[in-house]
Amino acid sequence: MSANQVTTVLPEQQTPSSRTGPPNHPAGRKEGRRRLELVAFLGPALGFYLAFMMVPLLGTFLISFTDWPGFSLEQIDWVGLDNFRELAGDDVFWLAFRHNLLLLVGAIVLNTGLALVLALALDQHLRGSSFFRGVFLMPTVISLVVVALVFGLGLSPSLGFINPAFEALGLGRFAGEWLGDPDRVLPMILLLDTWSTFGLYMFLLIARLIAIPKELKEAAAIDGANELRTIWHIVLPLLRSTITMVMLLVAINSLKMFELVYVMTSGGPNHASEVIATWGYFQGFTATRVGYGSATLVVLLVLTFILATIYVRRFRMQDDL
Amino acid sequence: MTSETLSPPRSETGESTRRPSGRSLSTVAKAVLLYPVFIALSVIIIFPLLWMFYSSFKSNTDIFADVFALPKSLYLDNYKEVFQLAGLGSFFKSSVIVSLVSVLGLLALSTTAAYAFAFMEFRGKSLLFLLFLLGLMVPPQALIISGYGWMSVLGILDTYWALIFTYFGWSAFGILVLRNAFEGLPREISDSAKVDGAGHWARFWYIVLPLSRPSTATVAIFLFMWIWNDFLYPLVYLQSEERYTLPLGIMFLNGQYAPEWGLQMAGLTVATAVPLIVYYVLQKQFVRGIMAGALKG
Amino acid sequence: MRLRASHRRILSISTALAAGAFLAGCGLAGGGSDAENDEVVFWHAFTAGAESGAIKSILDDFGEGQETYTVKDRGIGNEEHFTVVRTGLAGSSPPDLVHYEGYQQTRDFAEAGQLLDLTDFWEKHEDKFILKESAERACTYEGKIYCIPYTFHSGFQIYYNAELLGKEGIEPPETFEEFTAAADALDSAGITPVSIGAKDGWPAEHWWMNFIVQRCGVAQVYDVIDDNGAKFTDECFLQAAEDLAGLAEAGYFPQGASSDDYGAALSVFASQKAGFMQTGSWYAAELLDAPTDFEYGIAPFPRFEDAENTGDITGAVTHVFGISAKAKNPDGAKAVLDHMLTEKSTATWASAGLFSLVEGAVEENGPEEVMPVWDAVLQADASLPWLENELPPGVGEDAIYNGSAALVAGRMTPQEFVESIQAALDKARQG
Repeated sequence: MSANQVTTVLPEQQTPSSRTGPPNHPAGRKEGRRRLELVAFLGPALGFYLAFMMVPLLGTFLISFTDWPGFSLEQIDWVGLDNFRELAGDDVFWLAFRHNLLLLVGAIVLNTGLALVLALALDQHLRGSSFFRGVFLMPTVISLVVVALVFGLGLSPSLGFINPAFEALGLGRFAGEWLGDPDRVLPMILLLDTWSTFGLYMFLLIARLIAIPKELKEAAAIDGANELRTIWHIVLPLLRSTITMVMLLVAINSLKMFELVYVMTSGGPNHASEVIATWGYFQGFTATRVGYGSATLVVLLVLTFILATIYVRRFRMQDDL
Repeated sequence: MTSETLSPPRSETGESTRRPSGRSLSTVAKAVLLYPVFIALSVIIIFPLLWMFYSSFKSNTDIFADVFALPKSLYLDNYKEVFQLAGLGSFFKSSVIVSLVSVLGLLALSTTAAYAFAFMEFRGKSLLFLLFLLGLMVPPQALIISGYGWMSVLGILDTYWALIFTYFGWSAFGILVLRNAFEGLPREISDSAKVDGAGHWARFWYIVLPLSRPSTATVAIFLFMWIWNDFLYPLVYLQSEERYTLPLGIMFLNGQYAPEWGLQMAGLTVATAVPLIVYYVLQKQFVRGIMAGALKG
Repeated sequence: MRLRASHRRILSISTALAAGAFLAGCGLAGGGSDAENDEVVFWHAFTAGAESGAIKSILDDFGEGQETYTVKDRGIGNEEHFTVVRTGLAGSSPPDLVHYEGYQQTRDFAEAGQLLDLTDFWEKHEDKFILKESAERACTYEGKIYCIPYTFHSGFQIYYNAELLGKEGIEPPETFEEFTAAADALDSAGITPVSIGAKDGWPAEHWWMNFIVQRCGVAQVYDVIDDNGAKFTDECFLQAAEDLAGLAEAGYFPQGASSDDYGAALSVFASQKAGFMQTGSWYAAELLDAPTDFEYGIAPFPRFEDAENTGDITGAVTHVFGISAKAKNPDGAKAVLDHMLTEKSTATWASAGLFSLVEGAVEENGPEEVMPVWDAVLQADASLPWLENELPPGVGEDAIYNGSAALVAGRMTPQEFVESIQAALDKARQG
């Protein structure tokens, strides 16, 4: 199932030497063609990626070492590591950092769990599965503006439906302020994030499940294994690499979470739902401290990258890492 | 949790897996167990959207009066205003052009790159892959200011290209997902191609792509959603109203000092309809993918 | 083309990195939009409601009255307007004419050299204007005028539901003591006395400001802002905070006032679930544009009988127009500005319920509903602009917004509130 099993070499090149990258010995026509093919397959994506992702990113990196109100380029002052030093003593940043970690753990458990259970459940091919699959995708399809509008009103203590619903169920003591309550706002953000993103992860898992040949499951069944055992011993191992990938995506998306918090609470009340991305945005755009805001986002990116690299290595997402 | 709840009907499963011709106990048990979950989740998902839909048929005053009541009569003025919105047609056109070109381009970029990562050997592969992963982690708002400067240097500010090229830089998601899918393809299949002596292009086009259609469709669906709903980049990169995309155009419906909820709901309903339709079209790919899997399997 | 040198630097770094083949194909031509000479690009935030109708009719009129220029206007919703204007002004193809909020924004844009010096233009038109002190403050940077003030918004009024008050036999209050008596009466009748949505902070801040102008007066606030010996921890600011906290403690605000936003608060008021609501005079224009189905009234904000200061109000110039320093068509932009200051245009603006700063416009054309508020503006000794427009964002949009919401929610004491604001101000001054 792992990468190197599938990795093949070109038919023309089945000599052992071909596995060791561009060799030093004179490259023949085959080697030339191999390179050409590599460039053709990888070049376009890499070109656009460098030109339109890495170049602006480099710009942001450079800005993070400056003090810049962001109005005209002449106002840029190079301040070295000052922004990062200030960040180390910024209470709101550390609060946001903690929120990010809490949301990260929550999202990995809740989002991956829900997506996996639903993907497996939909794979049972019960009648109406494709209908439910379509329904579960819906939140991921709609814009976050809709989420903000609908849940902003829904959770409102004076207009919304959540509190009346709790009271109708005899759970009136759980009614509350939700987005205005510092103790509840973060769990609420986690739930809303799950609501609006689990469909993506569920779909990625389903797409992989579909590709598992039926005969594998049937063979297991003939051997007398029940379905749960089939899932446990046959399906889950086959899904492993996809689950690993989904968890990575969940983690990345949770760490860079911005829009949802921005539209629901802007980080409030009083920073109780602040995350690093919203704090960086506030500093960069609202507070016109583009240098400091960029530094905040750069720290977030570096943090994410470190965690992701550890994760990728730990779970051997690629055997060559 | 499924493991405990599903275990009782184990003995029947051996016979029932063939095809669901005979309704086995296990199917019934599954239904009893899963339908309530499915339905409860569906309610949590559908109700808010349904509410948006029926609220779009209420006047602003009626929404103010009772936010969650059903409309008393079919109030169509919101839709009239949305469709009379100067430029709705052109907003739509812009969104369609940008989304289609970007998604098709991105699919081409990420399928080929994913193929290279899955089936080709080259030096620095894992480092390059990590570099792409980095792109997945960049918060989009971090690139707005330098991106704007860059577009202005390239002279493509206020053109569709500014958006399309920017989105072309977002290939990391597709590459990650499709690499995973390609590497998960049964080994015999790629090997059989090898035996046939097919080159990379042939193998990519005739074997790998058709077999990973469900994953490619998934990637396509989500790329389309993101680009269609994206607000930040069009807001900053586009300046002429005639090039506005739909999310930007819909912003016109929101008042500066008072919420125009009815109008917004109508606008959002229209804007949401498109991604849903796209999904239902692409979901055929999914079904086809299932059937293809069944045939091969 | 001030940006060229730095752009070239970025470019050289970037080309080194970017895939050369792609860039070569793309061409590096500068210059964004291909605006023609007779086109005036105008960015504003008038996207809906009364303002959007009025600006459209003014611009249409401009188009009919002359043939030299055509206006290409772009409306951007309030929240995003500043982001877009800021990026736009910094880029290579900025708008010719731009609407923004004045004060700190004027200083920021002017400091960066992004606005055209309009001192001469202002002096030509100066005599037409009233409330000149506020007007100039909104547009001045280092002694020069960089924008033309257009609209004044008052914050010193309260909206009431005349039907609900009438049913309970309550007269519209003139003093604060009458107001609290009215609120008590509504409360005991089971009606929410005051609608407020403090989630985003500023609606609560506006209440606090209306107490500040009475407890401290505008001059003392400027002593804090300009660091002339006064502090936000001074007694009168604390008193004003206690006034606000007192309203919350008395239960006049709806449950969850700090969870609801401004839109929800409007909805509560407009659906007759609350007796009073405090907000800016912009809401008067909205009410005229989309009338409610009940009778409402607008009264000057009730004053304390024992207040220190009885002549000051809150309110500020909120719409100003500047011309980009890199405008392709500054003359066209000036022609549009000239047109916006004609009697006909200001009449159009004023009749939509918006307080034009051109003398006589509101008196002659203003709808009667807004006249009591306008009279109060004209009689005022001084007016306090929204604090966030005069203070650094770390103070205004962080400490004050967050603190006001927490104060209303009872999660901060008045003492903590003023201390947190002063601390933020001190910190901003150090940095």
